[in-house]
Amino acid sequence: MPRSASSDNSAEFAATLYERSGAAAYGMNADQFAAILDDILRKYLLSTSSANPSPSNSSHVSAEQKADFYAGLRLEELTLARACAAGNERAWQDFISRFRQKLHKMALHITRDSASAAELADSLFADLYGVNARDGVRNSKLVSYTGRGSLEGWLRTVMAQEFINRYRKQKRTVSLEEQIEEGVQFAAPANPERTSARVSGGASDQHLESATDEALAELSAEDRFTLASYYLDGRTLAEIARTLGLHESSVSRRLDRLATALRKRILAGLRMRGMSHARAAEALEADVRDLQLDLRSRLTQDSSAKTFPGSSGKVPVQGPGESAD
Amino acid sequence: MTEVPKIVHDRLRAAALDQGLPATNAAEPNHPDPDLLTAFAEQSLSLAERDGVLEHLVLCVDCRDTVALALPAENVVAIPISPESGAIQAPAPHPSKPAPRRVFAWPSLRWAALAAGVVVVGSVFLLRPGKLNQSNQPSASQRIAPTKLPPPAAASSTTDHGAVASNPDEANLITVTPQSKKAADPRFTVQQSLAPHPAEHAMLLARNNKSPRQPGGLANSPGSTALALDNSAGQETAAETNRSATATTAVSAASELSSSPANPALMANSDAPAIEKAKPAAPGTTQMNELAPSDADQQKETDSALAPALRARARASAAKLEIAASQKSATGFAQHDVAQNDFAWAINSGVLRRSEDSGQTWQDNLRADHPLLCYASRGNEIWTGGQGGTIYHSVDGGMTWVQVRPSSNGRQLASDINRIDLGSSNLASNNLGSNVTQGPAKIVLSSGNHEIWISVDDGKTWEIK
Repeated sequence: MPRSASSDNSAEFAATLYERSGAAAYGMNADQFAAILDDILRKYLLSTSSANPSPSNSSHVSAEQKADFYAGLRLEELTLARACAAGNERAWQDFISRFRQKLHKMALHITRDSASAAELADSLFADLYGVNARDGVRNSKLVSYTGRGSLEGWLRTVMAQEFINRYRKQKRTVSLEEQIEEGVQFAAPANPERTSARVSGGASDQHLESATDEALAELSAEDRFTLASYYLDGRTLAEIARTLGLHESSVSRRLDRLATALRKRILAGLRMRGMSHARAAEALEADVRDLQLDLRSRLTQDSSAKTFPGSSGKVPVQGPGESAD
Repeated sequence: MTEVPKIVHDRLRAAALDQGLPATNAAEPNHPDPDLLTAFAEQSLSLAERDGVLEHLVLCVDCRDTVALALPAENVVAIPISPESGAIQAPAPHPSKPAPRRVFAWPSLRWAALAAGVVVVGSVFLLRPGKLNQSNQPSASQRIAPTKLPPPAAASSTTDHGAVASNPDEANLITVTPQSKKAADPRFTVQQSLAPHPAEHAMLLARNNKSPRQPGGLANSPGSTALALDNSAGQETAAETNRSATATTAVSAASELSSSPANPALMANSDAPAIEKAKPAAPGTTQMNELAPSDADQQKETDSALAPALRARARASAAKLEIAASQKSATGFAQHDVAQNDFAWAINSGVLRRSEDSGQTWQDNLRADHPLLCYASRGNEIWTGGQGGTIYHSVDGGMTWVQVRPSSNGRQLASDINRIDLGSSNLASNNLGSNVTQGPAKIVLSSGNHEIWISVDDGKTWEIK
């Protein structure tokens, strides 16, 4: 009996979601809609729990987290995107009326150049429409949209990834030409071990690096993200604040706090490694100007990276028609 | 911005490289998909997912660039206002070394809290020029008052100024008894029917020690300012009002004088701001300069030492229109205020508090995500602002609040709000004393980065000056 009651509730919940999504307007029936939701659920929730496979995981997900997960999805926009991917004309009309102009504005915001913006927007629209048909089947990029965020935000993200890919590609090409001009191909290949030894320099450098690594490791991911965005990427306080959902002043205060705390922690770490306070301070101030990290050798090294659940395993920007599944 | 040691830059960069997420090689797998990045930027991920994305973003410059580039062009994304503490608590501390971090962080946190307190207090005084100027007015006035006004007149007017505020019955008495032509002026009648101005109220409290909060005593002198500007042209009316004051009023004022001998500080504090504020207005200046001698003459004519006091009292009551209508908004950063609905307002420790019994008891009315710093009120309309561009608006005396997010040309106000001026959008009519409580309010925000944000349509659109 409890099982039937549970299944009744599940069916009722599914019907509610279907009604909320407006999928019927695009000719999508309840089964198709449920299949889409199941795919998304499997991609995000079940894939994360698959790392620790246990019989209770799937039931736990289906019982408690499922409703919360579905409640957080943009069902209406998900339906629109999937209906567009399926070639529904009405859905395309809605999509074009809602996003066609916005695509150009987004592209202009990203590229800051009208010609590049038009090219980028048209290229993305072609990918969304799925002009690269295979076997008569249109492969739309919209099929990879899962409704985790807004459709407009997703379009911006996809466009930004495409722009970065193009930029990197162009930069690599230019960089290679520059290297050839500089005669880099005649230089001796970098020896990682020797480079490491040179980087380390002496014991104090090793201590400094390890103390810094420890201090950074004690920070939260958000703190490290803030540091990397501000100091490595040169992002503004406003950009970081908007990314993290904070106020600019909060980010400013956080950066000040982190800078002070990091310096103290590194000094404390150096003292723990037997350095006097004065020597530790001197090492902290004098370092890095002489420290030469051979970034190029590190760029070429190949090591494993953290796998993301549901990741395509491809380039950040998926190719046209490629599914994220 | 405090700089971090350069070794931190390099180790952050090296950590990304060690993790196999090269900064310049986009052909690397295992990046979060656009859905996750979008949901991350829109703050709609679960904590666990958010931490995962953050861990990746720390190591992946490509995805950081993607997230940054994908931010909307305008500030149309509703950024949830959450205190930094919540954002910091969200990511779990590093699981492997929690204890050393606490041991290390605790003393620094205490010092940081102390330093933050000092910084906050210091910044309040440094970054709020309006309040600073206002609080400095009394000290400046102490030097100016003896030279500008005859000491007896200043003493009597000051003391009587407090007496008017302290005794509502006397105020009513003055309101009713004048038979001058100005008394028939509706504006004049209305202003006298208003509640005592907070400046006077605060001065009363400062004198009688009836309230624990007295810092507004000196800062409330704008009441006298309005008096000078508004009634300088009508001083004849004020004099007539004084002369027609009843003997009862005179006796009570006399008792006030005798019971509390002229306090030099107080009398200077009361009148000097009137002089200073009158300076910008040329007519007002001349009239004010002529006011003191004419006061002395009238004092001789009435052959009473109390006449200037009564006249000052009448001027104070005549100024209540400006005080209650427009100048009340100018005292937005004063410690407390009394609105037309008898609500008194104050900001204590970043929380807006309201009193329904003229300051006897106080209740927290609005506690925003960020500490509130200032407020301004006009009748039932209350505006309050605080750190991080926090602005709330209430049109029903604080019963309900609506958060306002000022933005101009795609730029959102995110700096601290140090001062709010709330007045009529028509400044000319304000100075003439007519219809100052009518029409949309002109909201002027002074932010921490020395910007002035102005709105004349109740906060719908803003302009930066």
